[in-house]
Amino acid sequence: MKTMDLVRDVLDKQVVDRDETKMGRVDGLLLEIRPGQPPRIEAIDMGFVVLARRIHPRLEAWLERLRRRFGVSSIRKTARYRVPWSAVKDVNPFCVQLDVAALDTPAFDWERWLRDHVVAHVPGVDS
Amino acid sequence: MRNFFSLQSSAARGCGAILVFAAVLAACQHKSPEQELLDKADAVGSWIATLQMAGEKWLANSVPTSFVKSTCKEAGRDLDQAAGEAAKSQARPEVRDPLRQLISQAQAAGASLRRAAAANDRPGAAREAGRLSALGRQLEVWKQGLGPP
Amino acid sequence: MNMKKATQLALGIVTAVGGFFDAGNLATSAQAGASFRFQLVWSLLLGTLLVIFLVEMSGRFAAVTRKALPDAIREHFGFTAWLVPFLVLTLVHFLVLASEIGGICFALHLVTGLPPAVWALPVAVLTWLFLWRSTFGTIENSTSLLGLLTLAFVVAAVRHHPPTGELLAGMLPSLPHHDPAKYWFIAVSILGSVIAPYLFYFYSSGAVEDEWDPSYVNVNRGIAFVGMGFGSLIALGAIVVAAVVLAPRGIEVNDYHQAAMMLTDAFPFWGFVLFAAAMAIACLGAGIEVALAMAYTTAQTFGWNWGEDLDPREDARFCMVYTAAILVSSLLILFGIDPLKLTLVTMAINAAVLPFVAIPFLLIMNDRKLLKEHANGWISNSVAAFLLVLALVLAVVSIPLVIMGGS
Repeated sequence: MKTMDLVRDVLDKQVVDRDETKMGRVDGLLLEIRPGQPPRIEAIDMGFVVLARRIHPRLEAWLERLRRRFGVSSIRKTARYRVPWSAVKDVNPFCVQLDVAALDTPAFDWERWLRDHVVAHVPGVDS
Repeated sequence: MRNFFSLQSSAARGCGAILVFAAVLAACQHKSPEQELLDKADAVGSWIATLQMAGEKWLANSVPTSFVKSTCKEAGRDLDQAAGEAAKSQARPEVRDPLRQLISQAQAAGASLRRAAAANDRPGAAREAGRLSALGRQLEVWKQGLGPP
Repeated sequence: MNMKKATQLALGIVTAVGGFFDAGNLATSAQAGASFRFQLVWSLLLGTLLVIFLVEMSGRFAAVTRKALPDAIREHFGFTAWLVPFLVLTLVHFLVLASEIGGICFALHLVTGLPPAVWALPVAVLTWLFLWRSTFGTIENSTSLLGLLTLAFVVAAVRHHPPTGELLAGMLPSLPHHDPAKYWFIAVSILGSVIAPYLFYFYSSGAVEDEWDPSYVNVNRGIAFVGMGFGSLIALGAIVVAAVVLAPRGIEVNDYHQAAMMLTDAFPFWGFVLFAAAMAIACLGAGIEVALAMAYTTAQTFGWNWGEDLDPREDARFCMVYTAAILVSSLLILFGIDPLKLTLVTMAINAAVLPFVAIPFLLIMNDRKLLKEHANGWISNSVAAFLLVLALVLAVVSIPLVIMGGS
């Protein structure tokens, strides 16, 4: 049986999409507690708000309020999103690979927002 | 490996200790007024030597006029500050007053050097360089008169 | 060794030289030579020995694991453990970047006569444009080849025929005859300028960008030893020139103006322009490396897409980090902070934060699961242990020294 140490081998690992584009890190792991059965990994949590929880619950609550109030919807989504474990394609020494396209996920919303609203307006970058 | 976090809290305590140590050291930094004046004199002597070198190098066409002007300006600023501090010094007048005089002469020489360079007055610049050289020697004599700290 | 590796070795050495000598080295060397002649050469040698080992380790780590340092450190120690070192390093890198930008601005001030603050924004735009438009390869090659201009300090030092006996005596630590607070402050600042944290973060990420694999372990060793050693030779040249030209005249370096004439004895006609050009290039090369080190560290910490070879549209967040870093740090110069004082204090802070850099770094270098047979051996670990003790001592003494000797 192959085993995997969740904290050592999965938490904080680089997450890449199916084309190996870097799309974030495993900022949190969600386990499902099932009555009468062993717990099961439910999802990967990513985003700033998830990281804040690891520093202090109060910081998370505060950032969460800020996030809900934030105007730009794309950034709002990047700050906290969840990927079901069923989307995980591979866990290797380098990364956790997901069977998704990064550009279509909230992980890239902020990246996309910066690209469309900032980078595109820099002279010399043809859009 | 995750025990590293506990290392950090001890690092934080270490930082606190450093700050206390720093505060104590800073408080212990009590110098006699003569000693403070001597420290000031080092900075003054360094600027006098810089001005002299700038004048000589300008005469040798090694540095541009704009450099002489900005060096004189910087020197002037620091010398003004030194003059202010020397004026406030609690040191004995027979020690303090010759230094104050030297500083004011250096300020005047710096200003003249700046004017000479701006006006492309080579004999004038040579004269100021000579004057600064003499001031540097006088400052050394003054320091030796004060004796070793 | 094949042709590609030989080229990499040559380029790597040149890069190391280009990135090593920067505003911090210039400022601390000039100050050391002017105030204490050759007496502080030991501090430069000690720093060089340690930085050779650390750069070798960071390159070896990247070649073997194909991961850069921030990436691996967050993965292994976790986000909460990495957070404090990450924030501290970001703050220090920000100050170092401001020092480099200040150095370029001062060099331009020397040539044009306009105040350094006037140049802050144009320099920021130039540095940024360089990063925005070019790939990793062009950055490496262009800044490092121009960086060879700093060899002027070595040529000048040789022309002055420094007293060999005194120079050799300076290689051993000795107690100062005057101004002990200043002596130790400069000694610590030299160490901080030589063991600059950005070097390791830049170098290991650069190795990943250049797609190093375990076959580069020996190339890496060559680059670290020759490149860092050669870079330190330039700093030694600056100490010697300051000791021969400035010290006998009684000039101490408390302002960059007081260092600017140091090459004019050896090169009466070109010396002044050469100093300005060497200073500008050294600071530009280092500034680019610091800005990239900040972007690499931030992107890897949060898992964003990164790479200097990517189009800015593909890693917008990575590009925004260096853009913001350059812009904000140039503001310090724009608001008229004295570039030399900023640099000297920053170098002492560099030394103070060394434990934050060294502890996770040295722990990870001993992880046999990651590095297998390439994990640190006993020589590297002895040097590492020594470094760790030194780093902790420096952390304790440097802050009081900033208060006492830095003013």
